[in-house]
Formats: sequence, structure tokens, C-alpha cells
Amino acid sequence: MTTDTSTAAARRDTLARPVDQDPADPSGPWDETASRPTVNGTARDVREEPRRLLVDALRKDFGVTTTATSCSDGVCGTCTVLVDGDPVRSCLMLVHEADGRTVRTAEDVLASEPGLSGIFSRHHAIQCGFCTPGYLVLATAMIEAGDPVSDRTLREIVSDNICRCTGYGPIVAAFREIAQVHGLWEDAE
Amino acid sequence: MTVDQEFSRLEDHRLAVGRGRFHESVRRADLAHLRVVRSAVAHGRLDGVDVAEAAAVPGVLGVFTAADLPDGPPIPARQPSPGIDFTPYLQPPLAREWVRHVGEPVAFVVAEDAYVAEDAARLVDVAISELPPVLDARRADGTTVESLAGVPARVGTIDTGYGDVAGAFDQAATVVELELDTGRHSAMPLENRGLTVGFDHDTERLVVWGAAKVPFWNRNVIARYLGVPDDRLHMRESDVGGSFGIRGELYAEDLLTVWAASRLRRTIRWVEDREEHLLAANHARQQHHRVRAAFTPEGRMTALDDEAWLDTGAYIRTHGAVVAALTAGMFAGPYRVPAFRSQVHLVVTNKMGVGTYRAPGRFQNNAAREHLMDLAASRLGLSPEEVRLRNLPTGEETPDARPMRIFGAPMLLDGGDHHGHVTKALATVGWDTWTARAGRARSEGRAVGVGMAAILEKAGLGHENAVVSVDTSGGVRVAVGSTSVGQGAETVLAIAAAEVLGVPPQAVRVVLSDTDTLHDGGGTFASRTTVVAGTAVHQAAEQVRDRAARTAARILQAEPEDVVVRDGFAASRHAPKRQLPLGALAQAAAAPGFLRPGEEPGLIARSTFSAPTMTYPPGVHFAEVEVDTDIGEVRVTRYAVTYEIGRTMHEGMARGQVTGGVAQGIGGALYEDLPYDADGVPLVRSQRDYRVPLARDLPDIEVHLFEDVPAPGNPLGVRGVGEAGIAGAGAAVMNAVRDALQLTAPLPRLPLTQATVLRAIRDRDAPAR
Repeated sequence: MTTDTSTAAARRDTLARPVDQDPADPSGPWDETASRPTVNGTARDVREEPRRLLVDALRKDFGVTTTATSCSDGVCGTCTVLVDGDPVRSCLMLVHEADGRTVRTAEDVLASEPGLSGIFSRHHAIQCGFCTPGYLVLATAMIEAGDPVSDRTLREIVSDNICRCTGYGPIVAAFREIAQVHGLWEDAE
Repeated sequence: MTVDQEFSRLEDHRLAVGRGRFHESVRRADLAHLRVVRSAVAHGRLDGVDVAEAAAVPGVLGVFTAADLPDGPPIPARQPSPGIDFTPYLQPPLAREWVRHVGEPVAFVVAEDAYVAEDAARLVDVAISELPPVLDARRADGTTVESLAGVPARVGTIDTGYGDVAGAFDQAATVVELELDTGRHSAMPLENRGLTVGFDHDTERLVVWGAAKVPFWNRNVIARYLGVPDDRLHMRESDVGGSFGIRGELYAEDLLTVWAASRLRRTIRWVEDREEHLLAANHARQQHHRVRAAFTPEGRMTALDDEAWLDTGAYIRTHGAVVAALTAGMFAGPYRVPAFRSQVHLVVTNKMGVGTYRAPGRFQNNAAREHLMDLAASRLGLSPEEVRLRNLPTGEETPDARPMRIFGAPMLLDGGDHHGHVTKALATVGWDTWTARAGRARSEGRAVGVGMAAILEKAGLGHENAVVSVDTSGGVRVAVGSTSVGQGAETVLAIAAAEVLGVPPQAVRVVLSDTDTLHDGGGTFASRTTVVAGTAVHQAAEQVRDRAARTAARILQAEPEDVVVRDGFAASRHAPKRQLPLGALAQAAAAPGFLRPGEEPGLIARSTFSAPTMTYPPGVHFAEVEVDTDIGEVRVTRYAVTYEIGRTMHEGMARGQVTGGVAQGIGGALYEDLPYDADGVPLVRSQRDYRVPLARDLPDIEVHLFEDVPAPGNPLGVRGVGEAGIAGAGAAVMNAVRDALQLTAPLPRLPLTQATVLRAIRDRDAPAR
């Protein structure tokens, strides 16, 4: 049996996130900063630590419930929102980076594109529903970009996010119908 | 009455519009956040945990170690396994004397803010004297474990079979054998594990959001741990972001979160991050198989013999030996096997504990057995489909009770004509065209191959309770002990009631697994919800319908058998214009004059269904792959599944279960693995490193649901479908890759990573020794 507590302590550190500030010292350089994002049409002043992620601030300060964290690494797309119209991983953006910008979540895109829900449902593109808000936002980005899409490009768009339930076929089918409804579908391939 | 099966799911009315009832959406003014401090060391003696610095962080409400917790029992195994004592292998909610895997909970912090809780958790100082980690189940077999009071590393063996195996091998014309490793996977549901537990100051009750899978059992275990009556906890129905078997099994963190809410008398939320999920949510699959089969010159199997080691991780999880039991018990798959033996040894190591992940045991045993069948085909000079057909039981041979038991119940092959299913499957998918297309591609120099896997699935296990009632407004309510794990349980159970009561499914309100609504419930696992809960609902709905008819008959002065219940009304078929609304009948049925002695007033019925044995449906997986032989990358270019579903309750949902399972299975076949380094440190700490299939990685998946043989064991005739899509995926993909590379040898392991494939190509091309 070896006795090596120092290695253990060093390893423990690898588990933790890097923190630039001593968290025991609240007066450090991490004073709350003010920002004023516009979320789903409402501009609001928020005071948060600069490290506060957009996804967390959306839930904490703006009452958003659809935008959720899954991988925290920008891989899965569950937390996708539109920032000034572009799809963005809100787990990779700090809330103060959204200062003065327009953020739209699934709550908003469902209000502006109410037909999306029915299309997703009809194609059985929803099972557990956890990825659905991210995909609804992605579909809205596709509509607003207005670029023609084909089956291949649709699969690429749907590949931006992860779904663990459906095997993707139903989601691709839903995106196809959305593209058709919005005149973006070009089936020549 | 038949129900329009293609209506949208009931769940979609909230999930499609962003109103999912996920636990993180629960708002409470007194919300605090829990963060777990985990061992960074795979194996060692816990010398001390210093919480002083963490406890001093402003906003921290408390930092707790094992010393603060009740001296309660460890996390129990839900299903006992005769002859195996799991007790020494069970995990305490927080490490006390030893740590046994990286990620094991050692302490936890509760703070006003989740970020502060994470900061403070970093300041907890954990001193550990390291021991060498044990990372190979086969090598650990035969040793003892100091950190588990010196018990053997082998927890036990599931040993099953029948017939004269040794004799059959002595007389065999051909013996084929192989060894196969299956990787360590996990389900990776999108929603991380978590719970929100509220404290009700008026009643001192604890309200739990986010429970899944087996809430009643979990409630009881947690109550026992806290030393309170079961009823002190209220598990609320919730939406959860996928389970696939791993969510809802009781974890240490569940106990800690409820305990913290009870201790601090506040609402406590615990949400793990993805790294914690990778470290400490159930792992699955990892086995090493050594299998051989004996054949006659005509290619008839005379014996099948498998020995496997299941790396069960640091502790025995709540499943006990379920994975091993299904691996061993179903190893023979659908085949006619005159002599059979399968042994699975459960061995503890210093990795995360292993539990059930969708098609536990079958993902692995189908891969080992079906790869062996392809190897046998090569040796015997038969086509892969022919060697299977020669060994599949026909309709005359089934139903057939194998002389063995699974979970103590007989194993009755009730799925009808397996030979016929595979014959029909080959024709349905046009298998000839698959093999021809692959042959053409290979003649053009492309490494294209096709593979099939004949599988035996199982579904339905245990009991479930349902209460069906019609209230005085005519509203139909179904309450069931099953939970939603994202698969549409609400919808399918609404259909089960609706088709009996003659109402649209949308008119049925389904209450899933609310522990205040029912006394007891089974839960959601093992492809059982439609079979077991669906039957309980069906039976209760029939009683309600009969009661409505009897009540209406008295009012209408008709015979009960002449009363038709439909569209929310009851009427005599002889006077259809005089319609009594169900709500009025509910009122009447509560009146003393309408009640039989001892009868519960109103239109209400309770029913329990206990599945006497599981149902064993056949299925076939077909895969086409193309291998980039320069880099060893495999692409699945075509995929089809046939499956005997008995009866489809909802076509879209049933297909979705299969396609989703296939996607996960292809991930397990090609990419997904959770390796550890030599120090027992997990190498996969981010979703970036745990590649799951994306839309671009998958072809359109063909699903052919056959309804040829309704299940004899339940009145709906249903067979369950949750695991059909994943069970044969590793096998079919592996066989397709072997075909694409035209290997004579078997492939050694799943997943077929690029390195594994390149090695197989190199071995193929190496000059014969």
C-alpha cells in the first residue's frame, strides 16, 4: 500500500474547474457587472458576476425554462439560442457578452413560428423533449437564413445538435417539412 | 373501438411548446444548490476530509461528509439473486473509509448559488492514501478486495444451461470459437441527472421532482435511509430527458439531496454536470466473452458454451445481477440449442458501477453469438442466413419452454415461428439485393459489407398497478405506477384506456407515478410499460366500462350487454338516441341504490397485472457498412430492423423506439467507450470525447414491425418494443464490417474504433505465420 496524499490532492485539482479568483474572497475582481441584454423582446438590466453563463442567466434572471444545459461544452446544442439572429451555444457565452444584444429562446421562436410545434409532433420528432427547444431554435435559424436546403444540407443542420431518442430520421423529416413550408426546399440532388 | 393511432402524443402538448415539466423548471423562493465533492482517486483509504475552508465561503449553507449522515444502510440492490450476497459490495452514500472509483461522492456542499457551491466544493480537502487500482475484471477474478473488507473480487456467477455440453463438443464435426470484448458504454441521456426536493413546512413532507424509472422503490429506500415513514416523501410526476435504463436507478446523490432538504428544511436542487455524469452515472456493457459452438457437418448447432466476465465496477448497483442474468439467460438467442451453458462472472474493479442500459446483456450476447454464427458460416461453407435458418425453431417447435429459468421464471419461447420470422425478414428487406450490392461494390475495390443478426428479445416483467376512473364531469383519469422516461408512456396508456371506454385518447388524463396517487407502483424498465402497465390499464378500463354499462342498464331498463359505451355516452343498442353521459353515470354509480355490497362508489376500478413470464419476440437486424480502409473509419450506409411486436399501439412511437435504439446501438458499435488509464482515471471527461452518432452519421433506418404473433400472455397481445432497436446493432454492424473487410478471423472487440479496424486489416494482410 502506498501513502501518497499529495498525488491525491493534485488529482483532485484536475477534477475542478479553473477559478481565477479566490472564491472565499467575494470582494475580489469578480464584482458583479451590469449588462442589458434583450431577451425575447424585453430588455432588462442584470447584475451578475462576469463568469455567469448566458444559459444560467437566462433561467435565473429572465425566467426562461426551455433553454437547458446538457454537455456544458458546446457539443450537444441543447442550449442553442439566437443571438442577434445567429444560433449560439448559450453554455459557451457569458451573460455580459450579450450586453446590448438580442437573445431569443424557444419561448420566443414558438411565438413567432407557432407552426413548428405541430410539425415536430406530427413527425414524432419529439420523444423525451429535452433537445426539442434547441432544435426549434435551429429550425428558426434555418428559416431566417433563408438559404435553400437539400436532404444533405438538412442532415448537416440537424447534426449541429444531439438527440439521444429518435435516431434523427424524424427530426430530419420535420426540418424537411419546415423547409418546404418556407419555400427553402430544393430536392434536386 | 379502434383509436386513430397517428394523433400527436399527449406529451407533445407541453413538450412541443416548451412547457416540459423538467425538475429544473420548478421555481421555489427557498431554492439552494447541492454540489458533490468526488474522489479524484480510483482506489484508496480515505484519511480525512477537511471542510473548514469550504464552509467559510459566503453563501455556503453547509458542507457535509459521511460523519454528518445517518449511520444508515448502503444503497441496496433492488433485485436479489439467489446464491449471491451483494451486501459487502454495496456503496455507502458518501465514502467512509475507502474510495473505490474516480467520481465516488466523498462530501457535498449546499449553497445559495450553484456557482458558489461549485467554488466551495473545490475547497474541500480530501486526503487519500492511494492503493493500486484494479482495472481488469478477468485479472481481478480470484483476488480479494481489501477495501471491501477482504471479500473476493468475484461477487458471484450466474451459471445457467442444460444438456450434455461436454459430450456434444466431444462429438462435434466442427467447433468454432471466439473471444470478444464489449466496451464500456453509458446511455448519455441529454438531461443530466438531478433532483429538486422541496420541503413543505406545513406538513414536514419532502416533495421530489425529477424522479424516474422506479419512484416507489426509490421513495421507500430513501424513507428508510432518513428513518421516516414512506409517506413523508411525495415523488411527483416529472418529465425527464431520457433514461434508457440509467436514469432513475437510485444513486448516492438522490439520498444526499433528499437528506439535505430534510436537514436544511429548504428546497434543494442537485444537477450534475456532464463530467460528473460521465464519472458517476451508471456505466454499462463491459464484458469479456469466451464462446464456442459445436456443429454437425450439416451446420446444425449441437452445443453452445459461453463464459463471460462482467466488469461490474466499484460497487454492485441497484440492479444486482440483472445484467449478468440477462447475458447468461438469453445467450442462446432464438436458436434451437440442444446443449447450452452460459456463465457470467461478476467481478468488481475500480471503475464506475455498471447497471442496465437499454438491452442489457443482449447488446453483448447478441454480438458474441451472432459473430460466432458468421464465423460458423465461413467455416461450414454456408451463407450467414443459411446457417441461421438451419438452427432456428419453426412454428411446430414453438411455443417451447427451455429447460432453464430467468429471474426464477420459466423461459417460454412464445414468439412463434422464428424460422418464419427470419425468412419473412429476408424477403421484406430484400436481403439478396443487399448482398449483391455489397458484392458489386467490393468488385469495384470498395470495402462494402453487409451483416445480419437474428435476435431474441424480451419484454414485460413484474407487476404494475392502475386506477381508471371517470369523474362526475365525465373526465377519464388513469393513474399508473409507471413513469415517463421520454418514451411516450402517457400516450400509450391513454390509448389503452381510450379504446376500451370509447373516448379519444386526448380525453384521457394520465397520472404517471405520483406516489400520493397510488399506494404502490412498479416503474418503467425492461420494455415493460405497454405490456404490463398497458394491461393493468386495459383491465381497469374494462371494469369501469362494465360498471358504466351496468349502471346505465338500470337507468335505461335495458340489459347490460345491450349497452354500448362510446364517445362519452352510454346507450342501449335498441334505443341509441337515449344517451347517458359518463359523468352522470359516475354520479349514479356512487348512489347507494346502485352499489353492490363492498363496492367502491363511482366509476372507478383498480387493476394489477403481473406478467407471469416475459414475452420473447424475434427480430432481425441488417446493416450495410463501408469501411475507409486508409483510416479505419466505418460508415453505416443502410440499416433495417424487423421485429415481432405482437400488436402496435401507436405506430409512430413504436417506430421511434426502434430507430432511436438503432442509433444508440450504432454508437455503441462504432464509437462509444469509457476507457480508464493505468491509474484508474477515466479518459473521457467531456461529451467531446464521448462521441455519439449525429444525424450525418446515420442512414435512414428501415423499420418493419410484424404483427404476426400476438403475445399470448396479455390481453392486448403486445410485446414491448423499447429495446428491439439496440439489441442487435452491435452484432449486425460487426458482421457487416467483417464482410466488408472479407476477414476470415473474427473481430476482437466493440466498439469498432478506427484503431481496432486498422488492426484487423493489418492482421488480415499479415503474411501467414
